[in-house]
Amino acid sequence: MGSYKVLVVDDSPFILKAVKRALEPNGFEIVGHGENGKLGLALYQQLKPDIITLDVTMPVMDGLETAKALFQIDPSVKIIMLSAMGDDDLILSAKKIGINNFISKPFKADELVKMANELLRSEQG
Amino acid sequence: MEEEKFNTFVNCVSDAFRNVADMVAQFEFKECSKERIEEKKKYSVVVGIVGKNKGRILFEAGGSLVKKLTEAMNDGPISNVMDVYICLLEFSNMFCGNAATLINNKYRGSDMRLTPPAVFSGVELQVITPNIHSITTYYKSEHGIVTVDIGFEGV
Repeated sequence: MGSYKVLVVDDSPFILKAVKRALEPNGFEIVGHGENGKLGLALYQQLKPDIITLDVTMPVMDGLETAKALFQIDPSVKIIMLSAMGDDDLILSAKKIGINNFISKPFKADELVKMANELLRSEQG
Repeated sequence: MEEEKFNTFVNCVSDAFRNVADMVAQFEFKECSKERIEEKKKYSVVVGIVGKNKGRILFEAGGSLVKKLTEAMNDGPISNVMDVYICLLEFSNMFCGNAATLINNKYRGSDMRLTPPAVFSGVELQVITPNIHSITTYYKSEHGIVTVDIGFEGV
């Protein structure tokens, strides 16, 4: 069985490593890394990943703007938002855009794997 | 920011700092009375606070502790100094972000946001912020001392 493709959009190389460490032993492959939302959008169209992990605070284009643009390109895109900031207002803004999967940094590997698997099983992103 | 909010912020940073250290590095930090970081080689990370209340958080630790912390975050030895900086920046970003989240949820409308962290390292390094009132909290772990200094304008 092939692995599921994951695109990491985050300006932190540490988070890229942490996501790889969590997901790659569990049936996922990190196929790309964008350091900002603009790069993330381009990579999404090129790589067509099964899941995107998306940071909120990034240079050039932040996570919320990126998510809006992603939903316009592909309404069924599956996004996990990863952020150290997770206040109620931010989560509400993310939900209004259509993101229902939010993990606060630092995250535990099991937590990310579980959410990724649940997201793949769900019909809606 | 009135004194109560200031104290809440200090407590939130302390809680977030300990949680992040525990989750990321499995280090136990205990608050202690004033202690000097004896090592000459030090690392300082500055994170700006913007929004309704402006200020900054200054995180400082000695070279040995930073080595242990960043190796734990990296899951192994770190061979270049840039990776040390990257881990320190992310560590600071996480505990400050977690603290800002707690503050924003507790005080609606405070709209606290953080600037990207800046890291400095050097021998006999001193970072001074004039015209700011700050409180320093000291923590001790088996690998050394950490200080977290939280300052706001106009307190």
